[in-house]
Amino acid sequence: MAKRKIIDGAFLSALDAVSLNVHKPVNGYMGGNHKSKSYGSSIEFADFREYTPGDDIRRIDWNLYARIEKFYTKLWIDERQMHNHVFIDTSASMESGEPLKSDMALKLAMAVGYMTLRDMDRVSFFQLKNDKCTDVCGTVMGREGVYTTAEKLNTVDFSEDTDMEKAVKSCMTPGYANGISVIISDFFTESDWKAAVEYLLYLKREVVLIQVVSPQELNPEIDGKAFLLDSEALDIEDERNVKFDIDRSAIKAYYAALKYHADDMKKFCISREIPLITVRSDESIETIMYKKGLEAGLVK
Amino acid sequence: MIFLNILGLLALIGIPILIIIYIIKSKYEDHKVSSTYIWKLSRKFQKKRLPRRFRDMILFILQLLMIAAAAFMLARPAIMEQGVVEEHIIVVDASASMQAQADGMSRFDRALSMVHETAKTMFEGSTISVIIADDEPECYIEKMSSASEIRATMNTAQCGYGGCNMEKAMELAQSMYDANPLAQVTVYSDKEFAFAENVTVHNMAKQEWNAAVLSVDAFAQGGKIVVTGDVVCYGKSTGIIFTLEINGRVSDAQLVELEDSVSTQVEWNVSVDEAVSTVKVSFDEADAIAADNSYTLFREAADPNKVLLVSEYPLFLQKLFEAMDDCELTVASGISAEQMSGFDVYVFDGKTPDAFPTDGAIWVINPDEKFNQRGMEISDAIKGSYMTVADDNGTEEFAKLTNGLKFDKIAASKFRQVVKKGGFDVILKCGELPALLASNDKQDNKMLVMMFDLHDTNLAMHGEFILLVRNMMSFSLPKMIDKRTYNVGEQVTVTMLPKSRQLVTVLPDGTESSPVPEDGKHTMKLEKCGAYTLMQSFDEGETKTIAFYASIPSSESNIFGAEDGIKIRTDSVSTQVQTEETELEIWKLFAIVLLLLMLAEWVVYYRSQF
Repeated sequence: MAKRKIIDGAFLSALDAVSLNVHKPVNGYMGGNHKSKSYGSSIEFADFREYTPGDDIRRIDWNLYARIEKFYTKLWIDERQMHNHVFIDTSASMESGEPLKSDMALKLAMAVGYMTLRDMDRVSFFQLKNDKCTDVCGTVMGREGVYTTAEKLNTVDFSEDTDMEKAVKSCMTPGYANGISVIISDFFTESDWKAAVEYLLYLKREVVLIQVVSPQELNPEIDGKAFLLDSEALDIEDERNVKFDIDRSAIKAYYAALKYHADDMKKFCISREIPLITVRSDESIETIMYKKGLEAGLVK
Repeated sequence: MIFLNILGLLALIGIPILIIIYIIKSKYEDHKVSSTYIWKLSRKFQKKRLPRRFRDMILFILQLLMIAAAAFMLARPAIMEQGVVEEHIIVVDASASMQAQADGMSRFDRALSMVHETAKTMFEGSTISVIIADDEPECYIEKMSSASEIRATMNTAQCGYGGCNMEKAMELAQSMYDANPLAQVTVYSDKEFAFAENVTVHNMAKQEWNAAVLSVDAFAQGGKIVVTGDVVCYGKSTGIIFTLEINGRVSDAQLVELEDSVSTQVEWNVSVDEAVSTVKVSFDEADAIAADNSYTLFREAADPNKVLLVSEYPLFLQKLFEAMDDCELTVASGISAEQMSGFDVYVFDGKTPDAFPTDGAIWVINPDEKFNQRGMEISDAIKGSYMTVADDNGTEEFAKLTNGLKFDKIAASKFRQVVKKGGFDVILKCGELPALLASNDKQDNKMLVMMFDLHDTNLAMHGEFILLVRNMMSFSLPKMIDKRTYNVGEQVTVTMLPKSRQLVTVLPDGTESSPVPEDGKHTMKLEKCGAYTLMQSFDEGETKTIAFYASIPSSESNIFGAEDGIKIRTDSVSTQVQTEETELEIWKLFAIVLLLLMLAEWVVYYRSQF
């Protein structure tokens, strides 16, 4: 797989204005920016963090200010740290569309990772392929991990198919009540992704679904007698390949099915209070983060 | 069926091409998609419709038929037709009775519609000639074969208000028949003519009825005006109310019971305080012909002719003028020039004035040697002889002056000799020399010169004298027209009065015109029914107006009239027929079929798409 170059400095600086919005209390270990259920007694210094309005001014390090005339707060190890997981569907269906859905999926994964790391939390990236869940680059901590992670994500391969339920459930370190689990996929699958979500909810994870679709999937431009070859089909005889007489009524039926699927996803997410963001592969990351992300409550 | 452009069938090659296209098209085209998950899900949202295969088959069949129809259309198919080429000679009666209306159409219109039908149905190559038979029959259409051209031309034909000269019409038809004895002769009329066997007659009469005012007369009697009218009803017996109008105002009305086809007289006795100039009898009924539902009588003005007699011994002439009802005589032994005006006729008996009046006719009896009017020169009296009528110079004036004169044993003992006639014509001779001369200048006022003294002749003892004086009065006071009632179709001769500068004619429909008279007269043919007006204008703004009425001929009011037999010769009735074959192209039929197929194909395709 050729290396991508979709995550760069410009992309990352666009994310500086927002941060992940955590709704549930976190049950993490290391110092972080998040409230915890339990109070720690350790005063061990962990790290500096740039002052943001709202922070306790008692934590401002005045010596550092005297030196560089900027406000920083100290982090102590009794502040809890999130461990966010990003599950990326790396099936062949994601490697389609113009622009490629896979590029958008990786950008989104990196966006979530960057915001996590900027907030001094931890993040892990998992590749969902077939019925397995593979950790792409281990647990990443601190800003210095950003570029390494980006390099690793740029080499992710999108192929074969994915059984989302089995793959998510096979994750060795799913965590428990200690962060956000983001699933990035097109969700055009017969595998039971709802079961995967239920599993993560059971683990008291804060789940976020990001559906990536291409413009071609939203407005198919196929006409006449067509033998539709599924990108995840193994061969020509694969039952996923279908013959279709595509006319205007078939297109209308396609749109109806698309809407039905979207409504089904929305209904499921609303009932579980899960943010659902549907993005097009040709949208800008700024639009997604500043608009859709804010609307969905993913970022703040 | 034959094909006029056989190469057009090459278009049928489109059929195998279409089959090949369908074979190729039936294959499914591979399309790689990210996921068929939504496509599969969409199956449950698809509406139930005809199976695609069935729709495709219908489209295929329609397209095959379209190719076949287009190929046939391009090949110009034709059907050979055989038929008989005929020449039709048609005579249409255009007399006033053909205007009789029934069911909203006149007989004439019905006849024309039958002519159009013949033109429409006749075989290609056949011709039609139409003769319109009115008072002056003419060939309206000659050997025309296009039905549309025949219709366009016949739409300008009009029925007249006069009679029908069927004899002349059939003469025209005869000349055409002689050129082609195979021709079919047809007559459309409402009268019973006895034609030869090979003439087809269509009687256009239906169950119409027609009432008419045939004539009106009026005269004064015992201080009242007696008006009589001849009225009749054809087709039924009925009671009709007739209205009398005098000078344009309704005076009286009468209900008259009319028996079918029996002429009846209706009479009124009315007191009128003014001079009666117009009398009109009319009725208001919706009968077959409206033109004869009224009749207007224009009456002469009652003003008498003013005559001035200048004579020392006026006995003979005075008695004669006094006996005339329409003359008002003034006798004078001498008169000054200022008094010589305002008379219609000036009679100078033995007296020659220094200056003659210009506003009336002049008679000079026994002129003296001073008389030298209009180029005439006279000399002393000479011995007379027997008087005779001069040789006819062919003029109307001569005829008027000598009307009824025999001049037997009328002599003059002496008379003046004419040295030079000048602008005069000789009317009577004494021996071989002129005895009575009349001026021939139509523009100037009339002048008569009697070269003898009445006392020197025995003329006054004869009845010829009265007749001669009447003729002289008639010559001196010409009338614009000779009567006040005419029939449509007649010719009216309008006489230009002395010193008249312009004539204006007004037709019943109000159309005015200023014809240029020829030789002091204007002849007009009466083609419309109704009141005509004639106006002549003179110097110093004077005008003279007269009206007359033209009615449709009485015979035309009888819409069931019969005529004498008129035959057309049949020297030989040929049994040969001229047949011809023509091609009837039917490509238009295939064009319509093609359009319908295209429409059907579009509908099926549209429904399959939407």
